[in-house]
Amino acid sequence: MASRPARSSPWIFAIVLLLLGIVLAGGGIQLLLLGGSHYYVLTGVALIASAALLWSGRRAGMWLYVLILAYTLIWSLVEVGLDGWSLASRLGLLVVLGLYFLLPHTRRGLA
Amino acid sequence: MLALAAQLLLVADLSGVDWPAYAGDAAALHFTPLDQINPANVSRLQRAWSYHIEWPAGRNAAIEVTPLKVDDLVYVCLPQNDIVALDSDTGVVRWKYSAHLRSWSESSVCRGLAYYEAPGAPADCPTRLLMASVDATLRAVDARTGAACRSFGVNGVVDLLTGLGPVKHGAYTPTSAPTIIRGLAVVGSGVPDNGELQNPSGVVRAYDAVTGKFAWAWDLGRPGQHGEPPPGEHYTRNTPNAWSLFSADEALGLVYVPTGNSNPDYYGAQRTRESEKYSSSIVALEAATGEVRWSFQTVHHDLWDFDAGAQPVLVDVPVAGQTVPAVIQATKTGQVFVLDRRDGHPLTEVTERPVPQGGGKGDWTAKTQPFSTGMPAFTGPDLTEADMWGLTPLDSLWCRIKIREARYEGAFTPPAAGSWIYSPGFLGGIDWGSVAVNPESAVMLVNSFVMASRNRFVPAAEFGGDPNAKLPFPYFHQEGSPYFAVFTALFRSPLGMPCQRPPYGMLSAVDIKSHRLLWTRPFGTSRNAGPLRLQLPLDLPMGSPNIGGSLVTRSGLGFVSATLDQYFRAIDVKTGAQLWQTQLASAAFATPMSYLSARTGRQFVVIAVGGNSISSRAHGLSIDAFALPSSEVKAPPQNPSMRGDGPAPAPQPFSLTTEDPSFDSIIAADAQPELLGDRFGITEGPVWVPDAHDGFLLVSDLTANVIYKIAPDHTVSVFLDRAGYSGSDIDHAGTQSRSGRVHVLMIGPSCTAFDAAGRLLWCAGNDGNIMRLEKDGRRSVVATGPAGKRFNGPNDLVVTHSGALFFTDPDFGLRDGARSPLKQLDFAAVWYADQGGPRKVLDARELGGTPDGIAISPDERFLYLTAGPGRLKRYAIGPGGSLSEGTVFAEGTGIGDGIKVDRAGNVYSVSGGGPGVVRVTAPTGKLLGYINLPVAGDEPKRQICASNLAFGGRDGRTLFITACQAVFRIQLRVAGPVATVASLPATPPPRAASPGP
Repeated sequence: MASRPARSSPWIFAIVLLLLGIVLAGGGIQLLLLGGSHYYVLTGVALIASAALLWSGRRAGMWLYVLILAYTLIWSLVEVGLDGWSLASRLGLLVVLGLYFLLPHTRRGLA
Repeated sequence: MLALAAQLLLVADLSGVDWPAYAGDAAALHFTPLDQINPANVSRLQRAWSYHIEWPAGRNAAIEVTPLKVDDLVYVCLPQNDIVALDSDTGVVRWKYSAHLRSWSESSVCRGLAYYEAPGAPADCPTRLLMASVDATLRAVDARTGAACRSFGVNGVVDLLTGLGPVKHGAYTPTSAPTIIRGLAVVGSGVPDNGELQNPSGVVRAYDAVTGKFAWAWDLGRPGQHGEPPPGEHYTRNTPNAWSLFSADEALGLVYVPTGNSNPDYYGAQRTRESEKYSSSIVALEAATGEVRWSFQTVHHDLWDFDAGAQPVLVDVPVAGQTVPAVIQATKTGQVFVLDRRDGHPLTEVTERPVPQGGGKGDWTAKTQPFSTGMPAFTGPDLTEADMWGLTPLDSLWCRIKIREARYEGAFTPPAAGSWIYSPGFLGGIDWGSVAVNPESAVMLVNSFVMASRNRFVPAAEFGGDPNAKLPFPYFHQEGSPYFAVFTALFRSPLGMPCQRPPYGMLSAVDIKSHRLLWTRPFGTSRNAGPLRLQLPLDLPMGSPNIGGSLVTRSGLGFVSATLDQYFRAIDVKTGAQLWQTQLASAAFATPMSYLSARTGRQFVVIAVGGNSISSRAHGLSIDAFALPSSEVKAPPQNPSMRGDGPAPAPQPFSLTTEDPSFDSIIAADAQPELLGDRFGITEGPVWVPDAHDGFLLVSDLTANVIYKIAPDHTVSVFLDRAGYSGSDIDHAGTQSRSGRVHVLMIGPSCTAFDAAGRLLWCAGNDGNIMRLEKDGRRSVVATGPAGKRFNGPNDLVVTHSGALFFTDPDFGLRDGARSPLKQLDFAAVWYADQGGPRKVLDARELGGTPDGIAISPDERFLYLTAGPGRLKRYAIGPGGSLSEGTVFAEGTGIGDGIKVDRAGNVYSVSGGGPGVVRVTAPTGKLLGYINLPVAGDEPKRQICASNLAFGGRDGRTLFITACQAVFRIQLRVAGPVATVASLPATPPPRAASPGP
């Protein structure tokens, strides 16, 4: 991750994803060590990577995020099936954050 | 007149009309046989009245009461154990009992009252309310007047601390209604969870419901001993306490007691053999002795705070072609046990299943626990990591880590070295709200709540090593265990969201005959259940946490609130479909009840609104009543039976009761009443007329509609006819009542007085006017209602020196009271009339009761007002008759109708209906004594009451008492005011009949 964000990159959004990724990865390691799901550590690391790409203004960061969303959807369906409340808990935050990519301004800022 | 009218009202004897016990009756079915409100019309249910509970703004209160209803009154106990009696049609306060507890707190609870009709119709409290109060007392209050029962304990109070030994402040706080069986009031206890080993005993005690005399105790630590402990000893400390509601089978003579467990809640190595045997059980006690007939344990060696909180429900069920008396015991683990209530053996399959082993250091775990495998369970699924939930992946990750860290092996996960989680948690399952059962369809409505608890033992080091550290919520000392304290809380994320996925609350119906689950669905929405205690108005079907029970009706409805979403709902019990809901001002963690007003024939469903500290901040505490619009309600039920048609009470002689030595300066100890006249209808409104000779008395008669003159030689003549009502609409005028064995219509005047010019005034109640007799014998209207309207029915009157009038204008003198078509004012009030015409100076709502008797102090600084039975208020009189600084002057027996004040300022008040009592109260409010009129007794039944008073005789030292069918006079040692009467027409001409309004 470059020390300065690329010009016109969505750097604030990148920081949000970075923080989210760090917490999920950190907690995810703890959970993994307790014998729990590996989803959180994987997602956390992927979010950090996505954040770094976005910081540099690279469109790949967006595609990585889409990949995370798809992975989360599959994992959720496997874990809880079609239970609405459980799906909302797993998907809600990531989907809402993902809406940011739909803004024309965001897309323009990515190479 | 009020108390009399209320006592003698016609009441239809239909079952379901009243709701005389906490859960309907001693069987605790939560069932009403009423069917006016049914699935077809429930959608039109609307709020009929609401009683606002006064409470400091913004402060939480715990409102968990289920009101009672008997005759025309709804009884509600408040957290500080005050009781209010509300009009069953309007919610207007009819009387209030102030408990003046020695101690209570904002978290105090009163779940309900018991109602008892004493056998043999004693003079004191023939009907009474019994209440176990949080200051460790059992109290008895007259159900008609709100006065403490003098015959019960010491001035209506029995001290429950007796026999407990030293008790720390606030360590013994009963919260549940007593249970009545075979003339006894059975009460449990209320001791803090966890806390100390020196907790008071969980003893269950029975007291005579009439006298308050101790009958028996069940102290499980002293088997076979049912008396009070001898001096120097006390009931066994720290035994499982029975804090919830009991039920009773009058025929079997058994009372069913659900029990808690010993302290501390999460460690049990030190528990005694007896405590182990009876904790978290249902115990059947013999009503006659307090001996255990049988017991059934729902949780062995309880290490989870799984105390049996649900009131046992008594219902007869078919078993192998026979009807068996059963008791249903629901539990916090979500089990529903069905037992034979004669011997306690299970009627549906109960399986002892192996459970996880462990427990705190040195503690042990029961090898097996009972599971009601023959009935549907409401335990919820076992939790897995995938069940962890949250608003975001962040808080659900926190929950995943916590459940992985903790020991979790289902509902009976034992305490462990680190943290441990169990589900359902300490709130149940099914707690004190219990279940509702329709005994006719044998269908049971169950609202359940499943949310895990997360606990851990806490070393003293976390609190700086101080063993006496005051612990913040939710830390509790675990005295008697190797642990300093326990942390115990619902398993929630730092955002305050539950760690497990919805639903939390379920509503279900079970067929008790087939043991089948008929339907189950999430109960309540996400409204007010947002993160960080945000009150989001979001109605997603989340299945809300819920506390409180339900009501089922014969018509197939279930009524239930209990949820955090603050809705009150009606459910079709057959299908589970929701048919009606309304949003309440606060959560209602209480159980609804229902009754029928005999007056209007309207069915009401009532719920207490206010929640507790677990709910969102309360936006208003109230008792809310719902009913169909009155236009949809048919006429009152047919074939009413007359109340009080039983045999006459035993005769009782005249007596005086001295409450203060200075009573002797009011009346001589050997004073005797003299019967001035007898066999009237119902006398009222006496006034003394001095003349050149001996003077004479005028009294009005409510039934004859006249004012009589009683001459010195006791001859009676009609002085004024058609005095109270001059019309002819007898279908609507007047209140129906009973006098002796005669059922009567009361249309006569209820007051008389002289104005400053010496002219006779009287209350023409059913004409809605105050009248005056001119010197030439003409009658003129002195005061009629505002804006061309009639008064409701002027009831009593007092004249100031300057000639101004104060008078009361209640509506109970009209048939059906507030619903009478003759009623033109939509309020009851106190009025002031001088040259400028009548002005309303006090609304009945400000008075806090229906205005009735009225009197003025000799210096004319104060006005006294009867504010419903049992309550006398005093107001400072300001310029223009304005009233301010209203205070309760006196409460209790001998208050309920007319009032007069002697020249020294002593206040004489009378009881109204029932046995005639005159109460004398000093100007300071100190009770001096009672003049108890004789009870006539014997057949044919006669009515001797005390409705009003007058001073008279040559020196003003004779007290005249109108006493329903009789008029008495008695000599006093003090004088009262007597009017100066210029001249009175000797025989006013009879009034010509005129058409009614």
